[in-house]
Amino acid sequence: MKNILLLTTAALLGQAGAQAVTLDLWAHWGSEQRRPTINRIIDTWNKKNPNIQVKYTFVPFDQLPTKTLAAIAAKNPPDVVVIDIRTTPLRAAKNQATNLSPLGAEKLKSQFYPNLWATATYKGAQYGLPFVTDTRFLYYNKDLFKEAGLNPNKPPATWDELEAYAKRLDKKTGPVYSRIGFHPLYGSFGLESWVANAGGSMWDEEMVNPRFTNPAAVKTLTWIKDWTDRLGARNVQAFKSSFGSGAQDPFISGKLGMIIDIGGYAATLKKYAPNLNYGMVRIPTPTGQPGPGTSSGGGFNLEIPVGSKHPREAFAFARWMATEGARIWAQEQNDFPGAKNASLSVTTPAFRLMSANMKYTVVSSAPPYAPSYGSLLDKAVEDAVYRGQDPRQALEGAQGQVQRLVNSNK
Amino acid sequence: MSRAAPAPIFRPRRRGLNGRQREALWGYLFIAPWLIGFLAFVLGPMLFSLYTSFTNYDITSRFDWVGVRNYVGLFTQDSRFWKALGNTAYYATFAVPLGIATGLLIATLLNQQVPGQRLFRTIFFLPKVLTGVAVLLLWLWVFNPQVGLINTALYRLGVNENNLPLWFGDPVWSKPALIIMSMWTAAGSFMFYLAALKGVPRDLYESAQIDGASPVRQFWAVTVPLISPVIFFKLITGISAAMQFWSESLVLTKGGPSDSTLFYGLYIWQTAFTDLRMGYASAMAWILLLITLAITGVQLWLSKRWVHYEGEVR
Amino acid sequence: MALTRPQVQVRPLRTGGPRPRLGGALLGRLLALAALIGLSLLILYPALWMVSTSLKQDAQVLEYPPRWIPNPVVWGNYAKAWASAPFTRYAINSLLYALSVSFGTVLSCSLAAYGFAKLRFPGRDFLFLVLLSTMMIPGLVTMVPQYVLFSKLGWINTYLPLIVPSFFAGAFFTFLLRQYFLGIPNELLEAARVDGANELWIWARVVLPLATPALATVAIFTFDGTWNDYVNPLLYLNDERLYPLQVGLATFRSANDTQWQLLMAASVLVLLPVVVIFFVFQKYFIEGASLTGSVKG
Repeated sequence: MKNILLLTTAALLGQAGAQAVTLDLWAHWGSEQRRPTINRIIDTWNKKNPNIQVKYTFVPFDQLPTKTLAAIAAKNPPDVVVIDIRTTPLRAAKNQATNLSPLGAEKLKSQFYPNLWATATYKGAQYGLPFVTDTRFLYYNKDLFKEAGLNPNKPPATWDELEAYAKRLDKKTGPVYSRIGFHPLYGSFGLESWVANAGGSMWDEEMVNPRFTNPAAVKTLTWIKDWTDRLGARNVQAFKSSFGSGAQDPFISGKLGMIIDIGGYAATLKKYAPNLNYGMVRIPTPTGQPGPGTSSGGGFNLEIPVGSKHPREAFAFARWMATEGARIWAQEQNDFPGAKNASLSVTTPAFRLMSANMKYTVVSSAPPYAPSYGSLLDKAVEDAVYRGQDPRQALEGAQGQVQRLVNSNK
Repeated sequence: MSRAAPAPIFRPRRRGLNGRQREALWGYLFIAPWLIGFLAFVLGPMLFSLYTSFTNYDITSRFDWVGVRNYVGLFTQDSRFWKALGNTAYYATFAVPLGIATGLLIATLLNQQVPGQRLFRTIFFLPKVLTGVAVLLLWLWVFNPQVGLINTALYRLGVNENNLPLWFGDPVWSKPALIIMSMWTAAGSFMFYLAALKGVPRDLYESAQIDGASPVRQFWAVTVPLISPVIFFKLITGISAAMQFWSESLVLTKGGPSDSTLFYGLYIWQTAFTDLRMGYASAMAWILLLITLAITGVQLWLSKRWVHYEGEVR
Repeated sequence: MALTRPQVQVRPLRTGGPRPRLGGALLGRLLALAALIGLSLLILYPALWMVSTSLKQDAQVLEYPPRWIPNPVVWGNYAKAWASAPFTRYAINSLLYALSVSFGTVLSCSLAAYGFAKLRFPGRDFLFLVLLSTMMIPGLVTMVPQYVLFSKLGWINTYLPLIVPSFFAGAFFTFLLRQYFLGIPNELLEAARVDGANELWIWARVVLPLATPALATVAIFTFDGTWNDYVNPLLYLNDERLYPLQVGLATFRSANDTQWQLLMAASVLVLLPVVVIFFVFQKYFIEGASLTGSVKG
């Protein structure tokens, strides 16, 4: 029936390729660094597929989720959207992301890293394709290591070593620290990441109910609190809020001996601090042995919003974008792709490090029933670490609030 | 001040309308642009949000009537709702009067015969121009605990290094920091007052001077009553804006530290767009609307005592 | 209705604030000047930071403690920033957007404000409260239904949802103008009415000329607000060729990396026109209206 219709339309329009469709793609890449690559990917596809033309629209990062949501509500969404990897299950649960399994997504599973594929799986069906991710490392300043009498070729591997090294790197001028060796909450690694690093989790298996008071969480928060107490809560906070804007970098400025950041930070260092002598290694764990949650990552999935006029064509493009497109992206942008083959096509040392780190990287999704749990958890962490609350009590408070949120959202 | 005495109006009757009816007709015609726009673009979405406040609406997958559950939940179980309300009340209590004082102070200074008027006016207009995320992030430098403008000044004034406020890093100082920011922004509203000040008849000052009134007395006895309509305007709109204040705290503090900048608007945003609980968020919005309306009602009533309109139609 | 020109005689009013007494005058002016200079520095501080950052090299942007005077001074950031997105096209979009909205706002708000301020009709005070309440409902909860409404009208990806509502009198500026209009003496209007002028004529020829500073204030504030609007155009426009300037600024901020020096350089370029417009046209909104000049026949 549909084919007949299409044929009729073709006849009416008098051209062979009348079923040509234009797909709208929204993503947050607009900078002069990102733009040429996405343009190249789109051009490559458009040349190969005259019947499925893709039109790219740059939507700034901070506005993409609301804009997409409004467009879905108005039943006039884009056909493909590049969107936060952590919230795909939420959009699946809320009928915002199209179920891709009926379109044949399952056949693609083996082409992607399993931990990334899982980010877009909800109740056994697939709602997105992983595009790019990142993974975190410990960066350390080799010159400062030498200055403090530490071996720059033997970075810390355990939490104890991390703390011992950090103490050696601390530098006090009068009452305040002019340099801090390391602090667990500086950089992009929060309590949840440290708990995973220690082999625990803040959630039950299904990411439904919070388990904030589990022993690993309490122990980890206590560890962070003790670390803070040693430096003085005021010093830690003053230092943290001095670098809050991100416009000054404590690691580049030599104010911080070690920091945890994503693999892409190497590119930032190359650009802003070409002479910095640094090392990039796996994040220390309590035992020194790596596990599945040693590092953490984020990234972006490709989704087809519910209401797309051309889901089939959109899936064809998304599939190509997540594999072949990701290859181009990885080569030019050094972001780590979700597709295995695409990741193998880049051979720079930093990229190989990232590749090796993938199996120790957890890319967790936001719990669909309590997406805003992060701000409740943050408060518990701050109350315990900076304001003297007992870690267990702080976590119990957050646990209660998040559980209430889960219950009312179920 | 002499109020306009309603002079008797004699007009030929036309189209069967008397003067009062004709005036009413004109009145509706003049407000028609607003009324039509309100009915076409505003009323529908507003009523929709009122309805959704009694549902579990999440924008895309469910929309079921739940009665007053959202309201009951807010008042009885949600400690963050009260926290957000308290933070917002704190902010509005200080930011609104201080903002008016700042704008008025600058307008009064600019109303003196000082050289460089054009330059000064342009400088004080800058806070209105400098908006957006990039500018907000500049504030993190101003409030930087170690090298920021404010703490450097406090240190020079002799404040001990260990007593310097941490501003956005400390729950006690994060709201004052945002209030200081709001005063900076409010400086740009000097224009509202200046435009009004320029309309104050100079004779009034001269007669006040002949009576021997000091400049301060002149300000309170002549200036403030005459520009009171604009002060009233800034009061009402300022309260309304302060009650909805949120985007700055999203960019600068994300509600932290320890929920100290979790403002009502920010909580609505988080509830509506992170948690996708639009029904619950709508209930919050309507509670806020009612609170703001109540405050406005009281202000309207109080305004009869202090707001002075030269040509009010009774 | 006959549009006879009313002959209104109004006592000339000298306005513009106190004329200082000769004795304390100089001292008072000096104090005011000192206060203005001090406050100006506080106001300028973030702006100067912006300019300073905009002239820095990559490597100096992230330095801590930050330095005030860039060395070397990289003027090239400005050209580079402007070239990194189609800013010229964005500027044209922003200009058309801001001008249309300013025009619509001044026109519609001054009409509605006149109705609320100077005419009596049943339900006026209630409707005014309704007007105020539209300002008090958080836009976050009306955003989606409004978007759906405009989508049903087929207005998505056009400037219509951004411009058309401005022709229907928003609460904020209607309220502001109402406050100004209330201060215009009724004798002036009555005199015109006695001479047979209708309300539209009075609005156009008596009230508007008297309220020039207020109207100009509305115009510049609306222009500035629209020029800096970022969220609304992004919500409704899906075609990058239609984007305004503020979206251009967002190209320098990505998920993990902000190009501070380019962001600040572009910000200076984007914000400068508004400052220049204000500097050039400020006399229209600051100068007091002379009541005589406007009403004589």
